[in-house]
Amino acid sequence: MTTNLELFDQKDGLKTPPLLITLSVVAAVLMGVSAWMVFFYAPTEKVMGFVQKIFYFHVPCAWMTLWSAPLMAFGSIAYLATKKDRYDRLSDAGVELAILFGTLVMISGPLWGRKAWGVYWVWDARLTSFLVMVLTLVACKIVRAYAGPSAKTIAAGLSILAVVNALFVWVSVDLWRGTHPPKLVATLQVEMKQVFWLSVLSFHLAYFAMLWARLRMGKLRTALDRLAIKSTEAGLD
Amino acid sequence: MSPERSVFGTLVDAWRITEKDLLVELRTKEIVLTMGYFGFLVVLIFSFAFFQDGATISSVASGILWVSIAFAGTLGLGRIFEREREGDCIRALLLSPIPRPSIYLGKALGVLIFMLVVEAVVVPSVYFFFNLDLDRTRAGVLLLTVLLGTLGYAIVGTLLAAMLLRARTKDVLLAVVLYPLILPVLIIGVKATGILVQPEPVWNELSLWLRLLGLYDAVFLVASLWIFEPLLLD
Repeated sequence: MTTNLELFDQKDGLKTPPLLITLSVVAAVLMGVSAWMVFFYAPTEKVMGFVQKIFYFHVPCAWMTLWSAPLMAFGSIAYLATKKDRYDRLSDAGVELAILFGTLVMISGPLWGRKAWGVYWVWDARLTSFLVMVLTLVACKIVRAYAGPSAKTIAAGLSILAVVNALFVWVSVDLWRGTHPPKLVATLQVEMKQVFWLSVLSFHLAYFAMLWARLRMGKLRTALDRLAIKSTEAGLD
Repeated sequence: MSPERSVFGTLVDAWRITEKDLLVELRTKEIVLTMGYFGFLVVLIFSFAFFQDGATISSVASGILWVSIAFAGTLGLGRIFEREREGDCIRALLLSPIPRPSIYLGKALGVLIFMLVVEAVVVPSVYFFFNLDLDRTRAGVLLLTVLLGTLGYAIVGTLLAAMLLRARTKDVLLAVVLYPLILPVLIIGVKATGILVQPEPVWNELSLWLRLLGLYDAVFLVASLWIFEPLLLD
């Protein structure tokens, strides 16, 4: 119990770490620069034209969502094995980031799909697996909010199942022919590549800044909850 | 209970759990009757909704079949575990010298059997209301598809229903949690059935879907056996 309350006892325990602030600022600036470069530096693609620019946004978002999968799988398994709150917070942070970036992917994807395929949505293997994963993770957050005392355990189990499900559909991609474009990063022109990798970098920085902030938030929340319990016990209510 | 339980022993114990569920059900027939009647009503409502120009549209039959199975299944899943909660039976079950995987397998088998009984009503209803015309081979493959799909449904559904046993508002949560996870089963089931109801089914594609369904069942059976124990220990 004491370990978490330490946050409030230490001088500067509640202050945001300077490195986190630096990371966030750098990420924000780079994000702006890469957005500018997407529109004014990268050449317009010949076949798809202007719509292709979604690619610089869509693909990094998808990568960030996939980053969250091992994160929450690890967090959930470790939580089920040890029942330590630390791992539950990691899993929760992973789930939230996956929902955020997954939603961005599924907003940017259809905008491109409408132009390329003529429809917003197709039941392609990749699209389906993505949708299934994000839907399951939303269910996971709903469980967390409404299931009561055993919510953490249920949420851990669910996020493991979400990852298993995503893996299952991912494996079936080979069997299930899709219309989603294959990996094309290697085929890009030089300027396009530069912009793309800058965009990927800025998304990574933003991702880790958010992850850090989210983990800190969880930690502070736990500490605050415990402080509330302590104050009630001490009759300060 | 020896930790080194043989596979056969685990299965025998699982069957005991199933036997208990079947016995309780045989005395009241509550779950199967309500689920079956509900499934029939769902099919009926859909056949009415898709009635045009003096006949029901056959091409939507595959979707209706799986939606009805999914709806009726949720009803039964909630009920079969509610029974364990009454009088805190689940605690007795967990205290008994039966390994946890056996409890899970036994419950899942029970769910599978109940659902198959219900499908004995739902599948013929879809067949007649939607004017399907299947020869013997295609009818056989349809039954195989339904069996594989139901197996996947029972595997995932049992795990989730067991997980939510102690949760508040679990009736609502079960549906919310179950449907995203069994979406692959429903999609594959609908696609496979859609191929089957055509006069000239594309067998290659069908076998691909059926293999995927089998793969789903296997993957989730392993995952469920693995995470069932820590999830119930709460």
